[in-house]
Amino acid sequence: MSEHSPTVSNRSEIVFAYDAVDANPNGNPLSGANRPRIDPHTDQAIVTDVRLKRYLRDQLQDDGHGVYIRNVKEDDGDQATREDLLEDRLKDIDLDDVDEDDIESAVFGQFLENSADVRYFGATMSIDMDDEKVDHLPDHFTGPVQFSPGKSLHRVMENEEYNSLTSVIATGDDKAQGGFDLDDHRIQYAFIGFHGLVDEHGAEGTLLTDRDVRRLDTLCWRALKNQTISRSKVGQEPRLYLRVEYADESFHLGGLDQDIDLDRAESAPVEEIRNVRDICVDVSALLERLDEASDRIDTVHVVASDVLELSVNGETGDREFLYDALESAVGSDAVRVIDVYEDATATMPEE
Amino acid sequence: MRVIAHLQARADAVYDETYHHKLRGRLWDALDGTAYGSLHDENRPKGFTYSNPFPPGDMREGDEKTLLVASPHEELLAHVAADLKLDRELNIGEMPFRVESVNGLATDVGEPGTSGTIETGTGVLVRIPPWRFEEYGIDTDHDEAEFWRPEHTMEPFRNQIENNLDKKHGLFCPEYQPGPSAVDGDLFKGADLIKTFSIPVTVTQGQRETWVLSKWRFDYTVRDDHHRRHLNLALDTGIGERNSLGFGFVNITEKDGRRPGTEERIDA
Repeated sequence: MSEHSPTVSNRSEIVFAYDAVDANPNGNPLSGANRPRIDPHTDQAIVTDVRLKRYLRDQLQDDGHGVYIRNVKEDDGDQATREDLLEDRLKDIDLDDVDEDDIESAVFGQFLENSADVRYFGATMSIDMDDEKVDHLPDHFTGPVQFSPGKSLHRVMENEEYNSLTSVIATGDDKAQGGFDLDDHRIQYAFIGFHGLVDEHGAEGTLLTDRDVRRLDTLCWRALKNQTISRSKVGQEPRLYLRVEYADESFHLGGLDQDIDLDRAESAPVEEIRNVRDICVDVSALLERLDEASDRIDTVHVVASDVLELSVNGETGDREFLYDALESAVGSDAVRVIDVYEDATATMPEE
Repeated sequence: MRVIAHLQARADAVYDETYHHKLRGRLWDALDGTAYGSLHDENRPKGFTYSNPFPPGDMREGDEKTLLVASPHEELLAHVAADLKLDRELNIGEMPFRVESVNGLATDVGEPGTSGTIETGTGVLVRIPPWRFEEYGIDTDHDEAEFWRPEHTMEPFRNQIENNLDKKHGLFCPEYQPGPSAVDGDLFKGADLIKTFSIPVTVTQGQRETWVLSKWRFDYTVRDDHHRRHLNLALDTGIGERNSLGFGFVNITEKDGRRPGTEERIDA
């Protein structure tokens, strides 16, 4: 990224939903057995924004974009510290080659160019380093892309405890009988909705570009496809991604995730839901709000799973039905159906 | 998904090419008394397959070999892993091993657009049923299933592999998802026959037959999510028939490195 790349100009609001079958979408380490997080009053599954951002960061890293906040333990035997990572981000700058007046912006730009995750989600730079370059970085980057914790649209049931591969392997090789006493906790089914916001003003603080946001349209989808193949995370699939890009500055409807719900009449009783075919997602309220605000909407970027059933005011259909309904609500020119893999290729790092 | 077990030879031994039956016995013992034990007597694909102890070849005491067990059922693999950890002695016929470590592996051909190569780690068994002889122009004087050989051409091989994977898809994948025969496009982009060979196989206790098997190298480019699921199913269940005897076990041997960190190479 250079100083010539304009930062994001429009605010966007995101609704992202995925489902989990026989999985632990977000374990709670404080619960002892890493049990799935469940709201004790409503029995809804909870997935923190931290968990979602971990998937997104891992996908960014796999795609070859620089990532500052890495799961350092996962690097091949490389127990990199945060200081090492920061040093690595800034190694291309030689301060002797930079005019004194430009040092701050050069370090700032270089760090953010090499740290895609900071451009999206921000970071706290609580680093005590004896490096002149680091002195030119702010203490804190506020991320212009914010997600709220996700919740399932319905109450969830935990599976019977069983002796999973994760538990067997996790006990270590020294314990001959390892695994038999360990419990494994999973949710039978959860359809989880997230709410996200891309703030055009905050974008200036991390140099987030339109290309970055365009990448986000494929990143959420692909991260759930690619970063959930470990055993406790397997069984999760992206189902609906919708980014409403607004035309007016500083405007967003807010809470669009609250406008999708299970169509109770078209879905199986919650205790019987086992996979995506047992549910129908009602998007009537969402479409009504988008319709009412259509003159303030620039584009709705959308992709839905081929097997997701949706309903609008009692009518049901597949994703094509949704795309048509969206076009009716906001105008056909204002709907862009995301081609996940083509867009992903278009927003890969430049060779 | 799969389990990888690192083995150490407990004595000098000659490599037994007909290990299948003995190794199968140990795996069924691991599943005995579990929900998967009853699969043994069912006439359908069992949902697991395994490699040979590799690299193949005679061994000296202390030599290291590796064993992979694959299945779409995590719980089944958990039972196998637990059994291998509980009883570290693994005797495959006259080949005595100690299980040094057991770990889990996630395998994935990659997202759409990814290209790679899958190789058969063990021989593939394909039998052409007699009612298909005419369709494939096979002229024989018997009415038993015919082992696939190169002279039968690729068509019956491809069809049998696909039909077989279709059946597994019906058993192990969500029913609302299309199987390999319900989508356009071939499972593999190209197929290289490495060799055909025959070995004596103990089919059940006391029944020994000579089977004709083949080894292959398949190229693929993942078209879409359905194709990805089909290829991953082949990795989890094996291709062709009699996978629970260890036939048709496949590995990814090459994957394009477009996305660093996603490659996984296993040499078996």
